[in-house]
Amino acid sequence: MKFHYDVSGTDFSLAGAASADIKKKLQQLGLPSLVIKRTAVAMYEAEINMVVHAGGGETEVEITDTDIVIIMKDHGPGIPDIELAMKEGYSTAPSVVQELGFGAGMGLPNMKRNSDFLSIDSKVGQGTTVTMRIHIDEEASV
Amino acid sequence: MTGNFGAGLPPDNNHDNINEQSQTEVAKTISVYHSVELEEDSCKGCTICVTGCPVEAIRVHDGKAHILEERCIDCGECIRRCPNHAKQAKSPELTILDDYNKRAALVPPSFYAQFECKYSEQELHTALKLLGFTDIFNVADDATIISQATTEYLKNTPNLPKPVISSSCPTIIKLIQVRFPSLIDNLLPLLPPVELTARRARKTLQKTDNTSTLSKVNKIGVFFISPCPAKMTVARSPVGYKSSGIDGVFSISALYLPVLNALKKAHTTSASEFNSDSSTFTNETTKSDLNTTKSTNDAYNPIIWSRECGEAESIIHFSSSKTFNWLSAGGIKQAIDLLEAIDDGQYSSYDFTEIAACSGGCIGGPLSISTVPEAQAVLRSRLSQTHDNKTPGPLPEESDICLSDICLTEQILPRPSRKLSNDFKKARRMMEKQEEIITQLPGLDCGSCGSPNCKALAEDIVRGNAKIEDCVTILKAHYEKLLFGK
Repeated sequence: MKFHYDVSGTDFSLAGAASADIKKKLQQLGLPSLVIKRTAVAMYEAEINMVVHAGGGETEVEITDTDIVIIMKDHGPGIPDIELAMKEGYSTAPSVVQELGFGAGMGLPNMKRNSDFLSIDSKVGQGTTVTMRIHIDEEASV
Repeated sequence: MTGNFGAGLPPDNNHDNINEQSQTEVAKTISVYHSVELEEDSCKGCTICVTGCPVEAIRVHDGKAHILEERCIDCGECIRRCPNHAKQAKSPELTILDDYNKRAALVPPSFYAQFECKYSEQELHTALKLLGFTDIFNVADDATIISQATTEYLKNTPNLPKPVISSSCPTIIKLIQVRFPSLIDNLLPLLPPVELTARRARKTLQKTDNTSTLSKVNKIGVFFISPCPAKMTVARSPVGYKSSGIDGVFSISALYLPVLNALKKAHTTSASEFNSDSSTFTNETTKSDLNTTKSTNDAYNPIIWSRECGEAESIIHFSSSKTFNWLSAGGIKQAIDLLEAIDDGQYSSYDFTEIAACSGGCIGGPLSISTVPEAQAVLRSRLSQTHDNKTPGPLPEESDICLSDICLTEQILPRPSRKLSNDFKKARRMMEKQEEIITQLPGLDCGSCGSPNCKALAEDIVRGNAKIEDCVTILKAHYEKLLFGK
């Protein structure tokens, strides 16, 4: 089962809408609240990144028997040095965004922490695709 | 009382268990009792409550509104919205007081905000006594105790999930249970102030009871005067503690006129017989406590608890920390937005958040009478009077409050009322069907089908509680096809 969301690159207030919707769907599926929380946090951070750095993009969430797979694609500037970008506290967010309380350099580390698998495929000048996978532990589902 | 809080507070180490409760255990936590009732004859089946319910807990079937009990959080939005006043919170008749020979009124700060300042607190107490109450207890005094305990809890508990969320609004606790179960660990594990007041009232009345040896029937009745249905509900089916010390709950709106009449009467009666200080139990402990911890010119009155930000302001009063970061939300929409953000991992740099389901705080409760701006103005005036008149009381001996007396004793469990099925695979199939139905529906969210919006109708259909022809747009299309073949 797949869900598709467009993430607006111009309206900052809409960031988080996709993760809120997915949160509701995962609750309908009765998944453990920890799985739901990890998914929401990982997706929210990625959404914010998309809005701040890439002018929006698209999100696809697939729920399989075993995993929640989140693929987020943008056509932004790309990440030149992914290893550096993964470092806690490293931020290239413009100061106006940092003033809003974002851009503390915790986005990517938070995404990594809250997913079981994270891959970042980025080409400078072309865009970035982030794939995250979160295991559904069916035993733990209530 | 200082020194009893803090390090001794048991950290919640059951995080994981909360998520792994079996379905039966979860079902047990779903309270079947709600104080909001439908006056069937008045309900026109208009669906205004259905589309206005923040947790989509109401449906109209067969022309009448029905509450889905497992989803209801007692916020009272339906009471506010119903144009026919069909949704009500049942307040008992004052005659139930006759069954008791000691009758305590637990008066919340929001009550005082309903009446013009020309009526003093003392006069309001007299009026309540004319209605049949024998003893008056101020809930605000116990709010002070909770504020002090909160301060200690925030200071002394290591590794708290931040921000800590106030547990004083029962609707917010239920909202978290239903929609944000991962935030249960963030809830402040302390009793609501009124529960402390109830226990204090019973203890005091038992102590002052000198008739028990003479009289066989000596029943103590403890009654709360509530600004909202949520507090009415928890007095009967508590969340986070086993049983309530409250015997009955009147709504502010039901007592408003009787109190006004009594106030007029009080002016003509020799008020002195009611005014004896012995039967108005304010908790002098806390007042003197705060005068020892802070300089006296720093005016503080716990009635600010009833307004938005009041709880946080109280904590600031007791906290020596200069870096206390707090958030406050009032009104159900702000509350949901804030919880959503906290759930997404935002705001963990804040220590505390106070969330009231009602805009303006408790003074904006659905069972209050005054508008929020007026109640705010009254509170401001009453606060300035406090500043002028209040002197610290003497310190009674039984001043120590034990932490174990004010901590929540029962685990707060999730109420996963959105779940389609206990079987994940089945739930997924139902969701696929639901998504398919959504594409067929017009997306007008008109509510005419009796469900709050098109998505909810799709969900109701896959749950077997509705059919697609309940959608008037689709039904119209069917008829047109039958009649005109188009």
